[in-house]
Amino acid sequence: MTSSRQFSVESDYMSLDAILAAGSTVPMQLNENAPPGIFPLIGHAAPPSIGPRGIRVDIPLWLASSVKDGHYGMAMYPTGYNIKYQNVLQANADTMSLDQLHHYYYTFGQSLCRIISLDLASPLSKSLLSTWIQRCGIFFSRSLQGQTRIDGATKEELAVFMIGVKTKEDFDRWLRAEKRQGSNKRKLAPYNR
Amino acid sequence: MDSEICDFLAGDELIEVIPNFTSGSIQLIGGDMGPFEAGLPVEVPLWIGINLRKRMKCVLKVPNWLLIDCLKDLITLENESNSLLQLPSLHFFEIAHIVVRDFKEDLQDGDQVKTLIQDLWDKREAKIRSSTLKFLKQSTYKSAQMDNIQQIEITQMRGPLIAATRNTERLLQNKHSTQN
Repeated sequence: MTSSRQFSVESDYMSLDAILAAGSTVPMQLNENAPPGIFPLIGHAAPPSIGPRGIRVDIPLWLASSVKDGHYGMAMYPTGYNIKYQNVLQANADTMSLDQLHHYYYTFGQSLCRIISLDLASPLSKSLLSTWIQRCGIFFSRSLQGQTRIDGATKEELAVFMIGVKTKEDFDRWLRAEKRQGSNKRKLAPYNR
Repeated sequence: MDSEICDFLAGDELIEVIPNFTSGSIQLIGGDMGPFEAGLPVEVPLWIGINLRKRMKCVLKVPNWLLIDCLKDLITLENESNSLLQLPSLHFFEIAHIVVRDFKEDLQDGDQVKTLIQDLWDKREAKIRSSTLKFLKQSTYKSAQMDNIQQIEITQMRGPLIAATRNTERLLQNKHSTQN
């Protein structure tokens, strides 16, 4: 009899954005228990030994979760997610060019919250939510006002913006009583599981 | 759901036309239409009215609420009201849009009617947008109520609103998971 092994995964396991975001690095403080095999994976030569103070390396997020689960180290805030940036975004997130901090700022931030310690994750999760709430209305509003281009937006914000742009174009065309280009035949929607 | 589907759904609304032919009732799946007597107004679904008009078999009797004076009154009332005004028809914009597109010759001043409809649409859209922005700028309340919003207006807001609130929900769940 074969037994099926089931693994529980996060809800964004199949998300392409989350997969792409997981390629970004996270600073980690490896402790002396960290296996030397980690270093070739991140393109470093393994040190002869890791002292009691540990060693700081930048590890891709997809590997950092395994390192954390194995108790080989602790993840820290990357640049763009630390307390200084959290305070700036809390004060005024509208004017920041968030794309320059990370193209998948929110997706990466959520994944980061899962691997850092709770006392670091809690303020970061609040900051992510507060930043989104401050900014998403701007992109929503600008897309429906007819703006077709926007700078400094992350991937998630761009997604909302482009849906708004497409909707605005569709309704402007409808209000002008113009006919759509192309065939009037409706295509069957693809089957979605 | 898009603007074309809203137009399609509005096709079932009844309008008055004045046929230029005489005929008995037309039997359709949804019910009988007519009888038609030349010169006498008869109520038919909008889609039949369009069909007859395209075949030059009728003239539209413009609904009162599509007359220029009535439209100007609606715009004035919409300006004065903080919330959305209840419009004379559930498919107000769709019917107006179809009438302007397919029955333009039957309107007294089609271009002005089109401009007034656009004006009313813009005013209502601004109100809906500002209410939606207030809703997006908070994460405490998960639902909101807006009275007298038309189906076509909901269709316009649905796409970007769902995209925005889905991300808000993900970040909210993330926040709750780090509070435990």
